[in-house]
Amino acid sequence: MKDHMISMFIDDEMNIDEKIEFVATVHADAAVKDETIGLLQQEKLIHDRVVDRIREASFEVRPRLDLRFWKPATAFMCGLAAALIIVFSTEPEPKITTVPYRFVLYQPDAGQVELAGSFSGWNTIPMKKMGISGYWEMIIDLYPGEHHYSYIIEGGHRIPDPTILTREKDDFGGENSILDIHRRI
Amino acid sequence: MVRDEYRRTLSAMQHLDEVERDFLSLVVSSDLSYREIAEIHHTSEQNVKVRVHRARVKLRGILGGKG
Repeated sequence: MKDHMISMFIDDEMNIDEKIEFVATVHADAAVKDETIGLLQQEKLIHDRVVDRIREASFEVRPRLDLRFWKPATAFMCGLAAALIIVFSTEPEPKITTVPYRFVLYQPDAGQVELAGSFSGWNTIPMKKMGISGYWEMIIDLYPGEHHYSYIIEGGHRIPDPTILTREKDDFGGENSILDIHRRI
Repeated sequence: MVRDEYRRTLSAMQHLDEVERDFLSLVVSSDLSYREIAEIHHTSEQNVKVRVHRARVKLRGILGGKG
C-alpha cells in the first residue's frame, strides 16, 4: 500500500478497490493503523483549531448554492484560508492589518473580467485568467470592514459575486456584493 | 490553552513547503477533490495526493508526533 492512501482515506478519495486494500492493510499492519489514527487526530485539530476559526472569521453560514457557483466559491474560500494561514503564522501579535483577499470568478467564455469596488474607489481592476481553467482571480489587500463590489464582464455587463449572498441594489438597477472582512485574531 | 494550540498549529504550518501548505489548506478547508485541486494548480492528481500526504506527515512531525 502506498503511504498517501492514508490521506486519500482521510479526504474520501478512494474507490472501492482502494478501500478494500486500505482496510486490509490497516488490519494487518499495526504501524499503518497507528499512523492513520495519528493523522486523523491531527486532522481533527486542524479543523477544530484552524480552519473553523478562519471560516468563523471570514464567512457567515449560508445555504449551499448550485454546483456551478459553488465550485468557484470553495476555490475562493480555500484560497482565502490559505492566505490567512500564511498571514496569521507570520504575525505573532494581533493588530489591525490588511488581509490578502482572493477574488475568484468562474467565467470560462469571457475574454475580459474586471473587478470594481469601494476598495478601489470603484475604479476597475483587471482580473487575471487562470490558464484554461475558466477561473479569473485577483488578490487584493483589504482592511477589516465592509466592502462593496461587483465584476464587469467584457467591459460592460456588471454582475455581483455569485458566491456572496449579501447584496445591495446599486443606483443603476444592478446589484453589488457586500463582503465583510473581520478583524484578524 | 485553545489559543496556544491554535497558534502552535499555525506556526507548524509555516514550516511546510509553500505548495504543500497550499494543497493541505485547500483539502482541509473546502470540498474540492484532488482532481479539482490538480486542475486549479495545473498539476497532476497524483502530485496532489503525494504532496497532501507529505504535508500531513511533516506537520505531524513538527507538532511532536511521528514524522
